[in-house]
Amino acid sequence: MSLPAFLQMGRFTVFIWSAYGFTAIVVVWNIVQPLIQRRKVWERLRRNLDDGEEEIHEEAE
Amino acid sequence: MKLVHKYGAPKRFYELAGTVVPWLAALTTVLMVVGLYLGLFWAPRDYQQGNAYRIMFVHVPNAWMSMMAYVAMAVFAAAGYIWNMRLADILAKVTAPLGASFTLTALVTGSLWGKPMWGTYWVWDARLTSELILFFLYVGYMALQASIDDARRAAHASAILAIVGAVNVPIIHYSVYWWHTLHQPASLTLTNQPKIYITMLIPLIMMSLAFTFFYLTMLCVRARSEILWRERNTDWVRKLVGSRT
Repeated sequence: MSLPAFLQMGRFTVFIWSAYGFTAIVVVWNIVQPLIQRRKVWERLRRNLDDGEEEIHEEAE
Repeated sequence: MKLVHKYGAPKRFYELAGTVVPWLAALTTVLMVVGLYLGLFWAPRDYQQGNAYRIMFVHVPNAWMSMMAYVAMAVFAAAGYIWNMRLADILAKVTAPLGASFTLTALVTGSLWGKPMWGTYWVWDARLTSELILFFLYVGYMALQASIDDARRAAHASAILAIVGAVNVPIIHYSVYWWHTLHQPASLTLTNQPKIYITMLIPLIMMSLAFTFFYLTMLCVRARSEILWRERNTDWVRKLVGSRT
């Protein structure tokens, strides 16, 4: 099957690909967001370590 | 109970989760790729719905996971509330955004299927309305968590919301039997023969497993960050950060 034939899902093409597209966006966001969060936490932890033993008042999101 | 004590310590869970994340991620990817291939190429057209039924392969897994994640969140929250388990508090908190994503995806993909099949994006029937309430419960839980600075108090207050809100889960599940809804009843049950063909059933099961493992993967990733931050003043986190600078 060729790609255009595959992409053309008949009468409901728009609805089908919108549904899969939306799902893909949410899945990707759910992967990217925690990874950004992880980096932020590590940066803050490193900064706190550099600041020495003083109390930490910073807040994570 | 011994296992709970062994792995219930945030430090142990951090290490364990770090080991299993790559495997969970790999398994999720394989299931997702195979599931999508089977769902989009291999499964035949439906004689009534044409290709539109293929939306089910993303809609149904997300709808299932929206409820499973809520049950998990309520159980974690209850365990944290009753036994003061720090790890359970963390798992409940990081489940909420994932559950909210599943719910939103189920609602959106459902309405994208509803428009061509029912002729409308939305009706206020029992299934759709109770699923929307589920979304608001997740959002409310996250808002409550975010509004209280102290981690323990935030966990306690939001645990009550999570536990009380759990009443909504059976309502969603049985809504299609209790009321006359536009939404059809379940095609798959544990006790009866499936009401769909095997060629449609296999991709559906693959996709459901893919989203289940996706949840587990991201639960571990999110929990690890949360653990590090909450335990930032402990020796093991200081050592860990010190060794990675």
